[in-house]
Amino acid sequence: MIPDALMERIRQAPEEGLVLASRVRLARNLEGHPFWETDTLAGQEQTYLELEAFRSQHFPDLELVADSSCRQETLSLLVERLELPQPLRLRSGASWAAYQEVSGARGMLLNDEDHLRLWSQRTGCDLLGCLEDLSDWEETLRDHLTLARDARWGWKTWSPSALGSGLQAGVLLFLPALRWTRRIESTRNALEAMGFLLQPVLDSDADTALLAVANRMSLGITEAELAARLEELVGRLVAEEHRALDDLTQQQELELRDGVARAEALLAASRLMTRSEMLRRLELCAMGSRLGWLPANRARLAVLLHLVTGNAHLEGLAGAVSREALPSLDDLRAGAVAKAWLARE
Amino acid sequence: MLNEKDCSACGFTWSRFLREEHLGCPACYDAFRSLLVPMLRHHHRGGDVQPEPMNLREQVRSHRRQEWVRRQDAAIAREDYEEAGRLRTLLADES
Repeated sequence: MIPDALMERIRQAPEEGLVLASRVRLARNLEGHPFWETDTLAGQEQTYLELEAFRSQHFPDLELVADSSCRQETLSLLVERLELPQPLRLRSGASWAAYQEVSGARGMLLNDEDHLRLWSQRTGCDLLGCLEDLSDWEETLRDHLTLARDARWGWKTWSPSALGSGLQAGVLLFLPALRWTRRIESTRNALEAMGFLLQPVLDSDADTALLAVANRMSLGITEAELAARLEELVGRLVAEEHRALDDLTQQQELELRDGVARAEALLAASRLMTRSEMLRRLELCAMGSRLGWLPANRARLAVLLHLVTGNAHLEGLAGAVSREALPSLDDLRAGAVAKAWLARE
Repeated sequence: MLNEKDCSACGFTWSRFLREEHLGCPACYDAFRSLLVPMLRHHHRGGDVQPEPMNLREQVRSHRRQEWVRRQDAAIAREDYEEAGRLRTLLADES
């Protein structure tokens, strides 16, 4: 049920699964080519063919992950499992493709909103390492393509929000104690004031402890400075999460112990479970695990189950069974969670 | 006929930008330059001049060196010579 690469990444995540993964994305565009939305179909195809010819010459070993022939369900599943970066939209007629290395550590999107988007990801908080991983690729682009660049504003991007470095850097965090102490909103506001964002990893989960902290600004700062600033913020967020968990245990230890014990039992035994209910119970178990009340592997398992029990994944499972036999996804979700929860690693 | 707020390269309009928050082509940045300036300053917190592009690996190494020097100075200031020595070794290995 759980992809091996994702399992491994989360198993290695430091801070008991609090800091899961880092990802950077660099946007670059071809001079003289419209962005896909304003281009004609013939123009989109032409741009794509140019990019594809470049890709096959300089990056021939990359594997095709998805392209314009994919169904929306397939794309949603890849995004849900964090195998492809968001946003990735199905566009009728337009040619685009996503490639990545076999390891999944680096990849590139051709003719998405920007003509080229390179990405790399690492376990834990290591944005500077992610940048290093993209160094050679980015040099190859600069050496062999005529890229759109402004003397004052740097790399020109589809959206002016990524102008300058073209960098979007993000770290995936699991912060249940901040959510349970209702501090996510104030944390988000404080980060926004500093030019950073704290957002749910999956758009469909508005109220979640699985969050990505990312840069909002990208102009007037080098890639390394931006990545370093974000890494520093991650350290502060982790400290805040520890503080929130301390506060919870000092102020409501009995209630928390009770909640953890109930959640542990219900995750293993429920026959129906909404996504929202599941998220709350997983958060409680993750906190219980960090406090030593539950086995140590529970915190990481909670994160994994966040990622592999999304609607796209469950709908994929449902596709293998008769639709009529499935009134909702809640029974599939409960079954998948119980199976994983009862399994001993 | 294009009006003063259209991009001559792709025909994208400023009103469409305000609606969709993206541009039509790289040349739009020149077509809408004066209109974009205040928005960029707001979004990017005042930064409106991008440093010249540098090799990413070099940027990272340079940043790490600066950070190690800063931490070495701090270690010396608090008389933590073991940590200062460790950082000195890192710096020597890197250069």
